[in-house]
Amino acid sequence: MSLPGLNGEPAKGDTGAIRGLATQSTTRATLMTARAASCRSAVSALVDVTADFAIELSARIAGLAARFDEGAQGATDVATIMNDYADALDVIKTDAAAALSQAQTDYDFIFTRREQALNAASEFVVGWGVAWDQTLPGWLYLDNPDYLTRWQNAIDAYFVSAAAFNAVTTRREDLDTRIAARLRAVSLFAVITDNGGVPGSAHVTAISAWAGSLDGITAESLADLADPEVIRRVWDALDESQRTRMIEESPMTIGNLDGIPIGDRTRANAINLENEASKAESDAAALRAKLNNPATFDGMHERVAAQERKRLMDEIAAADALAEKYRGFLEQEITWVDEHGVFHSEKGARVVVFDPSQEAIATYHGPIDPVTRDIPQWIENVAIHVPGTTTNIGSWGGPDGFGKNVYNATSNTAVFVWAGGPLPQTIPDATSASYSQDLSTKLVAFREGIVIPPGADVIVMGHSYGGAVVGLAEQAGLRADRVLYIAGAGMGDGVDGLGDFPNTGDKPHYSMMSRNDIVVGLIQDLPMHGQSPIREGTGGVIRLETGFTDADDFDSPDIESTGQIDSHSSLMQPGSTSFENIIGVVQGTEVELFSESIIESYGYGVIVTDGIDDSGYQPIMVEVK
Amino acid sequence: MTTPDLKVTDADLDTVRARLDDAAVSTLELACMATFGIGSAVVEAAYGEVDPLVANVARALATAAAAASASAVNAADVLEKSDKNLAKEPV
Repeated sequence: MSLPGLNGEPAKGDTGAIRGLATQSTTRATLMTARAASCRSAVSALVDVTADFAIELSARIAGLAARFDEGAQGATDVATIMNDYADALDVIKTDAAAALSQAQTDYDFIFTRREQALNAASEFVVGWGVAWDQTLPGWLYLDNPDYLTRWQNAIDAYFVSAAAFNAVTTRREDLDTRIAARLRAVSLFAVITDNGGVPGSAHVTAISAWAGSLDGITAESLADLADPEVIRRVWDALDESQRTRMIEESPMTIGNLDGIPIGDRTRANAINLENEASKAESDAAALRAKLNNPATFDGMHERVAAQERKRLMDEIAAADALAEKYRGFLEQEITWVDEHGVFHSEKGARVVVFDPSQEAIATYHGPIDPVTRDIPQWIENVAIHVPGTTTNIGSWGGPDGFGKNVYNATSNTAVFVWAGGPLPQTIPDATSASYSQDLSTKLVAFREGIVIPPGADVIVMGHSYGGAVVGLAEQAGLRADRVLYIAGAGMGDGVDGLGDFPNTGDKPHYSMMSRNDIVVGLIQDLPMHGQSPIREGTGGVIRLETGFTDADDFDSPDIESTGQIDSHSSLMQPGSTSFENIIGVVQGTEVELFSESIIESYGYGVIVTDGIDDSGYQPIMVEVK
Repeated sequence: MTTPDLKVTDADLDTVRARLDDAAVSTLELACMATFGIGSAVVEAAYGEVDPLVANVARALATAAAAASASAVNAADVLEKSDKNLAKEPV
């Protein structure tokens, strides 16, 4: 029988079975320890063999012994936790039994007191209407209230014992939570899964790699690991021939897999670009053959035939343009500077994301370490720029050019330009937050997949719609040291301010926008893409000056003079005040604060003068924190 | 120039192989036991993630040991065919 008011089953479970699980783990630990010893014996037996293969085999077996030891330790940890669990559960079982017994006694006693308070006749007449935790009204016991008092006391005593039982249930729940956390924190588990980052379906791959069995690993099983850190670890454990084979066999997977070094992604994407260019050329050739074949138009009315010719010619032009674009990436000349300041030039864009089916592309500007095939250790700033509306693979030259400009204007800095998926292509499309929602988690994953040199800062920038992508990525846990919204559409749908950013809320944030920007300026006070980065209420975003087209000449035209539409993008022009501010944020040096408007009232009205147009204008420079 | 001592080397490799075969044994302890006796969904879930991982670790290491043993066998085969690949330091 269950008693009222008692919650849960704190005594549930079989401590004997739990200890059985612990014993099984202990057995595993013992056997793995014995196997580690066998491996060490094997190493000892190799000591007298002096040959190259023996050195290699010896190192391999010694590594295996160490892994057996780690496996044994993991099994021992599990056994310890389960034994602790069984011990603690034994105590809880005892306490639960005692609490339940007391509750039963107290519950029964309610009915003893109730019987005493209600004679048989009363019980018959009114008892059915009185619940176990109720008494009759006091006015019925004016002659002898003791009956009522004792009855109520019995009910109160039961409530106390029920609470005691429920406290045991709470202890059990706490114990279960602690034990589950301890199990998941077992070092072996945490190391192999990167603290649970690897999904269960990929555990076998992660374990194989950890154990040194790399032969069966494919690009697809590598991708299944889904954790950039683990992917990197496995990738680094492969030998060069394995990596090359994987790049050549599965370039689309490797070229877009977060965790793969950028040098290897670039190699894979060069293959992807070549493949896509060849495919486009092949498509164009097939279309041309069709166009040039008179039989294609046999039986067609002349008007229909003309329409068909036009359609084929349009498709040929599109395929040609695509092939030319892809070949352009492969032919593009890139330059970079090494740590000694020496310029280098190479052919082929460093494309670190490329998947036409996903409208995904990203490029890298900077040096690549020949050994790690990644960002060199001496790089001090790593910038990631997210472009905005109308960006796609075909129009990549614009955003990529900005990345190149930033790279050229900085030192010891590496720059990524990233669009890991579709961006809106029209202004009406840009009113939807769905693109930024889809891209935000991809941006977080991309950033996590980059190995940042020790001590280097990560700067994330977003232009226009890209600003909303950055904001939502911050909300999703993006890690960065500085953030800049360039003519940002907003800080992201639903974002109220820096307080919504778990990892960047306390980092320096900057924004800039020309005073007459009508592309996103008009939506700054609409809720479309969350809090405006240039309005009050951000929680600490610092607005920077866009200034002049020539930062060094206050008499040069200001950014606003480029027009209400063009000023949306001209603020990224090299040499301008705004571009210098971008560089200041990227390099962590100094920036110019926005000059507020001067408002003067006259009898006939108000005159508003842009801060930079005021005769007393002086730039207010501040250090980037 | 030293001369390979093939007898000693073969014996050494036999020992290596035997020890690795010991390490490669895969037994029933790798199977995972039922967890319904735990009596807590929270702990069952965590144990259900960690225990198979430990079992798979043991299994993967046994496989790796078997592969290492095969390498030792291959090395012994190579030695049988040619004594030029191996040299024993003079005692």
